[in-house]
This record gives sequence, structure tokens and C-alpha cells, in this order.
Amino acid sequence: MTEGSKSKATHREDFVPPQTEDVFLDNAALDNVMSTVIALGSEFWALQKRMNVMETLLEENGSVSKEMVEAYRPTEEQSAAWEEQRDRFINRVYGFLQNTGTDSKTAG
Amino acid sequence: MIDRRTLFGTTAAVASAFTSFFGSRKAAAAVTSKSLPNDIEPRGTYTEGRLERLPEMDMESRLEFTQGFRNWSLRNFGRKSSSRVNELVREAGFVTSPSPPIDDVLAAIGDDLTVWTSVRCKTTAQQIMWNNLVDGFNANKDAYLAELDAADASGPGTLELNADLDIPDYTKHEIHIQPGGYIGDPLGGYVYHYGVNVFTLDLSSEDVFHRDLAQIIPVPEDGKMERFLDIGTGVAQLPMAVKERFPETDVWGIDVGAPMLRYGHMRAAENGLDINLSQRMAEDTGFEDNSFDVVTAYILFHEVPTEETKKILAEVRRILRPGGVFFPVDFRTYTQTRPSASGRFNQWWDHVHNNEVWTEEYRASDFIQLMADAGLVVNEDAPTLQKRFWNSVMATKPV
Ligand SMILES: C[S@@+](CC[C@H](N)C(=O)[O-])C[C@H]1O[C@@H](n2cnc3c(N)ncnc32)[C@H](O)[C@@H]1O
Repeated sequence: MTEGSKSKATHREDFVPPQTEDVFLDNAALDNVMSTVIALGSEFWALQKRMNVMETLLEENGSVSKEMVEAYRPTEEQSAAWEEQRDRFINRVYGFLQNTGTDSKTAG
Repeated sequence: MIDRRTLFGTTAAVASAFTSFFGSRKAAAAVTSKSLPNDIEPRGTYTEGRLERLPEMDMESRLEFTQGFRNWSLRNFGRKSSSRVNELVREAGFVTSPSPPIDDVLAAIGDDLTVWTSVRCKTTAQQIMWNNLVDGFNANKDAYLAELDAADASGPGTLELNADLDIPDYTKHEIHIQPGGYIGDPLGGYVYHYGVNVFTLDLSSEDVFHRDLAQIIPVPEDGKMERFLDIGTGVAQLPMAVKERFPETDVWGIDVGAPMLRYGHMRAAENGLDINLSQRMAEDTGFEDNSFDVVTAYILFHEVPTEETKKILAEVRRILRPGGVFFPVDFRTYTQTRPSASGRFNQWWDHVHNNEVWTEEYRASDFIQLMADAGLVVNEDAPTLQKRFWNSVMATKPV
């Protein structure tokens, strides 16, 4: 959370956080590890995207800088291809979580 | 456009890189927005030119991941989990539609691994989304706060903040588990806007929902549309869209949350839209009797306790002029639709684990009847959005 704007008090400190624990699995450690693994996926994807952008820039230009990466705008085709790449990544890596031993009973 | 990228290390180097390497690409849509003092737009805008890109590419990529993971959690895994809920409820001897009471649904689910793993995924998707946004905007907080400070006094449009506003406790919850909620984080408007784009499964949303909605807002029968108010306006996406549709109308938006309004005002000013935003409570607006032709409320009421809703509806009737139109859009209540067991379970999750504190009370209420009780005449043929998810209702103040 940010400290307030120096010029004026525009927010309040007395907001109310959720009162319910979010533990859904056998124990909190398991929930926490799951969340960590999912969060790592988002960090991984950030790196993957950087790779994609850098590869593109190197191919087009032979060199690359941090500024060029930050400013990069994927084309529509790239966006679509990278989205597909992301979804395949998610299915490959997180698909395991659906193996809960109830498939024989549950339709797809 | 390039000369506005003055921050976060994207300086002249970017300008030249941009021109030389992207000149041949399909040019980004022209930014029609104007630059305010201290305005930052570190990475330009998304394709249609209104939604600014996030300050760092990693932040943008993480959000894309969240979007994909959320889609997968809801559509892929979520569908499987929903059939499992219904199956378990059936096995426990209930019909699945309409749902049995939530306690029976929860008992039938027990500790089923499919269901709870899926819930874990959905919940974590929400958490990593907020963590990323809060972390990323705060990493650049001085620049963003300076931008807001300068925008407060800029126009077109006006912003009125009320530091002494008596803020009721029910509005202080971290709804949707957004850190700080609507009132507690000075950068809450930014965080909300990008977060909600993920909820709505549309990362590059250019206020599309609000623009669609603005197109169907009913005009009073006599055609007079001089003054418009949106209550619980958030970051003012609807007033902006209304101003685009009715450029001559005096457009107002009020909200309890100053961080929301400040961000909204900045966006409106940048987009050249002359709207007035004010920090006021919907139940006590301070506006004169009979002073608005149309009042809207977009997804406000499911976040308000029923007793306060009654006060808000009375206030709406007071400030609408005779013949004026009230057009709220929100979830359907249980009097309007009965969910299946899996739908009911999702609503329970939303209430308990997504911290939609008041939504159960709202769904249990008869909102249409409450409008009638407040002296508004309900018109059952309200125009509706294509998206079935939301329900719009229309009422008029009797002449
Ligand atoms: C779910 S948000 C919807 C915001 C906006 N209408 C939109 O389309 O995104 C609900 C908003 O209502 C505001 N709010 C809740 N209760 C309020 C009240 N009694 N008076 C004014 N604003 C209120 C919150 O601060 C929040 O910005």
C-alpha cells in the first residue's frame, strides 16, 4: 500500500480486510504451496515474454536494449500466437491439478 | 505521443528505437487524449488508444498470465468442478436446479478434491492479480501520485473531494479482496481499473461494457436529457461514455472513494470529456430535489446492505425530476432467478472468499419491490445488455 499523497489525504487507513481464511485443501501449507506454484507461473511467463520480444528484436535488428524491450508493441499476429503459447503453457503445467481421481465419475 | 514518455527510463532512446524499429509496423492508433501536467504514459496505450499500457512489461505479462490462468480456472477446470458439484449434490439426494440451500450444497461437496483444488486456483488467480497490480503501481508511486495531484486541478471536467465525508463502515471492506478496497489505497483507482479488465475477461477493454451500456440508457419520454448522474461511479467509465453519447448533457458521477474518483477524473480530462465527479454518498447526495433527468447505478447495489439500499432508492426518487428515469444494472436477485447448485456454490465463493460482503443480502432482497416501495414506477421492459450476466431494470419517477 502506498503512503498518502503528500499534498492531501485522499484515502483512509480504516479499510476492513477479509475476515475469512482461505484454506481450501488439507492444510494451509498445501494451499500456500499451490499459490506459490501458480504465482511462479506468472513470473515464468514474464520471462518467456521477454524472450519472445528479445528474439523478435534480435532477428529484426541484430541488437536489443532494455528500452526497446519495454517499448515493444507486438503485432496482432504476435499477440495471438503468444496468447496461444501462454494457454498451451498453462494447460501443460497446470493440467496436472485436474487429476483428482474422480474422472471416471465426472464427465469431461 | 513519444514526447510523453518521459519516465521509467523510457527516454529519447525509446523514441528513436520506436521510430526506427516500429515505423514499419501497423502504427498504434493515434492517441486522441491530451497531456496533463505531470502526465505519465510510460509505455503508450493499448491498441485503441484509451487504456494506457502498464508501467512495466513484466507487469503486463504477469497480468496476461493471470488472465489466461483465470480463463483456464473458470472455463476449463471450472466447468469440470461445476459438474462435480452438481454430481455430488445429486448423489446426496437433491435436485440440482434450483439449488438446495447452500449448507446442503457444502455438505454434499465435503472435502472433494476437484472442487476445492479448483476453488484454490480461482482464488489464487485473484490474489496474484492484485499483488501484481499493487506491487507494480507502487513501485512507481511517486510518479503516479504526482500525476494524480496535477490532474485533480486540470480540466475539462471537475473533481470535488470531501475529506470530511462521514464514510460508513459498510463501504470500507476490501471487496473482491482488492487491497485497501475503494477507499484505502491512493492508487486504488488504477488498481481497480486494470483488475476489473481481468474480471471481465477482456484485457484490452476500452471501456467497452460501459460504452455498450451508455448506448442503451433510456431517455425520459419527453426527451429532456439535460442532467445525468451515475451513483457509485467508481473510476467514472460510465459518465465518460454517457458524455460521449450526450455531449450537451451536464454529466455527474459520485462515489465514496476518493482514489477511484481521482483516477476517473484524470482519465476523463485526458480524454477531453467534461464530466463532474464528486465524493458523496449515494444515500445523501446533497443534490437538489428534482434535479436530474436520468440516474444510473452500474453494479453498485450488490455491494450495499439492504437497509442502505432503501435509503439510496429514496434519495434517487428525491433527486430525479418527475418523469425522470432510474436505470440500475446489477446481478439478478433470487426473486428473479434461481441458480443451480454449482451456480449457488460460485455465489457462495464470491461472497465468502472474494469478499463480496453484501452480495448475499442483495440477492436475497426483492430489488424490484424495493424500487416500487421507494415510489418509483418500474417498467418491466427495460432495455438489456447483450451480456446476460447483468440485469438492467428501469423505473421512472411519477409525474
Ligand atoms: C463495483 S464498483 C462499480 C463502479 C463503477 N460503477 C463501475 O462501473 O466500475 C462499486 C462502487 O460503488 C462505490 N460505492 C459503494 N457504496 C457507495 C455509496 N453508498 N455511495 C457512493 N458510492 C458507493 C464504491 O466505492 C465503488 O466504487
